[in-house]
Parts: sequence; C-alpha cells; structure tokens
Amino acid sequence: MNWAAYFCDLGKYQNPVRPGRTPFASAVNVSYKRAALESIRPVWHDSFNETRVNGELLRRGEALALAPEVVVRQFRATCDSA
Amino acid sequence: MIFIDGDTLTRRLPRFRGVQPLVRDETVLCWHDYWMAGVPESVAVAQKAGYRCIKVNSSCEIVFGTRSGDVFLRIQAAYSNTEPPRKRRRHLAHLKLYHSLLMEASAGAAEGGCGAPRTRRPEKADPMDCASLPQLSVVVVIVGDTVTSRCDADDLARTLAALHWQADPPGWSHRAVHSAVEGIEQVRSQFPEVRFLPVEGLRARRGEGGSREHHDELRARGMAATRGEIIAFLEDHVCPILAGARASLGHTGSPMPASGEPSRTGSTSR
Repeated sequence: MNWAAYFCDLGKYQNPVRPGRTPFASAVNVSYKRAALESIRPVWHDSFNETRVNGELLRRGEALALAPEVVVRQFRATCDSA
Repeated sequence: MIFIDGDTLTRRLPRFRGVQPLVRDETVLCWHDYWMAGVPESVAVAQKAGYRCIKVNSSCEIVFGTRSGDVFLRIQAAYSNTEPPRKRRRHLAHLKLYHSLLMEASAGAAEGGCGAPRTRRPEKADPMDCASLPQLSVVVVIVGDTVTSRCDADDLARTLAALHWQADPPGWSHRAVHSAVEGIEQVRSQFPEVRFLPVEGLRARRGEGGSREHHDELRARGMAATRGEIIAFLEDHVCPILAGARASLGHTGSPMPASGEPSRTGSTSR
C-alpha cells in the first residue's frame, strides 16, 4: 500500500528526475519565487492548491522546473499516517 | 496497473479514455486525489463503462477500478479502509471557487515591497526593513491528520531536525503551520528558531479524518506569513537533503538559468 501511494502521488519525482521544465510540481517539496506567487495571490490566498497554483502560473506563460538535486526523503511509516 | 494522473480540470495530461487501448480485463486503473474536481467525473465514466471501483481512504484518496470481478474482490480484501467512490457536492463548490478566483486574479495587482521585482509584503512586515528580509522562507505543513482527526508532532520534529542540522541559519526563515497537533509545544521548545503558526477556523477541515483539503488552507496561511524572496514548501513526512537544494536555490551550478523560472520542485525518494 505504501508503495502504491508513493508511486501514485510522488513516483514521477523519483530520481533520476530529468532536470528542466515540467508541467507539474509537488507541494511536498517545491519552491517558488515570491514575485511569481504574488502575481497570482487570489489563486492561493484562501487555499494553496498545487494544481491550481501551478496551472495558473503555466497559463500565464511562467515555467516550472524539476531539479534532481533538491531531494527529500519520505519517512512516513504507513499510508494511513501520511 | 495503470496510474491515471491528470484527470483534473487542468486537462493537460491524457485522460481515462486515452488508456483504454492498453487495458485488459485484469488491468487495475488507479486514480489519485479523488477529491480533486475532475477525478470523480472520470471515475464515474469508468463505472458506466463497466469498471468496478473502490476508494481507499488514504492520504492520496486512491480509487482502484477494474473490469475483473476477481481482481476487484482481491483489492477489496487487501484494504480495510475502503468505501464506494461517491461524488460529493463540494466538488461543484470547488469548481465555482476556482473560476471565481481566476477572475479575481486577472483583475488583481501586486504592490508594495522593496527591491525588484516589487511585490506585496505580509501586512505585519515592515516594508522598509529590507535588510532583515530572509532570502528563503521554508513553510512546513503538518499533514498527519489526513486520515485520522488528530495527529502528533513526531513527524514534524524529524523534518525540523533535518532542516536544523543541514541548513545554514542566517537568511533562512522557518515556519511550521499546524492546526490540532498533539505535542506541538514540546517541538516548539526544541526549535526556537522556527516560528509556529497555530491556525484555527479552517473551512475545509471536517475534524473526522479522510480529508486533506485543509492542508491547502494551512499552506496558504503559511505563505501569507512568509517574507523571503524564495518560498519553499515541505510537508512533515519528508526530510530535506539540503546540500543540493542550497546550490539549486542559489542558482549555483544549476543547469537552469538564474532567472526566468518561478518555481522549482525537487525529487522525492523513499
């Protein structure tokens, strides 16, 4: 179950990740430039949903990028505690 | 097993019908983020097409679907915390909110701040106090109450410990955002450099588990309290490995240009 949850939710971020532009980014491990977020503040002001935030940034012609060196290790013991 | 990712309103990725040529009777389709507008609709289409579907109450709100009765029974037996997928009315409200927010976004304007680019600062921040602004703000959202109504702060302590031991404190600002978390005061005393933001009145929090929409609200509250020029988000079930992150965020040795990309996301390993 843990592996199912992992691959379903985060598998596309498993290294080796191809660096560069991407249409998606996970709020589990992500950074943004303030200017980009401030430009869409109404989108996240009440609820910062990664799909809506990233979608709006892309719609505005901004870019998302993956970086394989920015690594986190997941340690949740079971999916139920995630 | 085929994972279907992207059957949301963004519609940027292949949808349910796109994978049908690859499907056999024994194939298991797997959707995640069932709460996301667009996914219940996709599951409903699958059910009309003869798929038997079951939702696992995990953090990912996974739905499994198969045309095979035997496979379905095996999935059902494998998980104790399942229920039939049901479309909830709140998805419709979610959709209306989304469009409303997009309209406001097109009419909004950034203002205030210091330096370039000019950006809006948190209300309590001194806009003239440029020297004290951190370069990087890290928002850690506690998500351990996804399935159960309450959680403890053990996971958060591990995440903060990883930040504490690996980060270079000057220029870094940490904020931990939480709602109802047991043991938070003990963790707060262990990490005095971290600003804890207790949050109440979450609209999406049902207090009964089985939901993570309120984590988006926590993330928004955390973001509103940041002051750094770069905002990093983590969840409390991961430990950051910051040696590479520091170089990347500083655009040192990065394959990407120093400007032009507003967002970076990293890799997640188990």
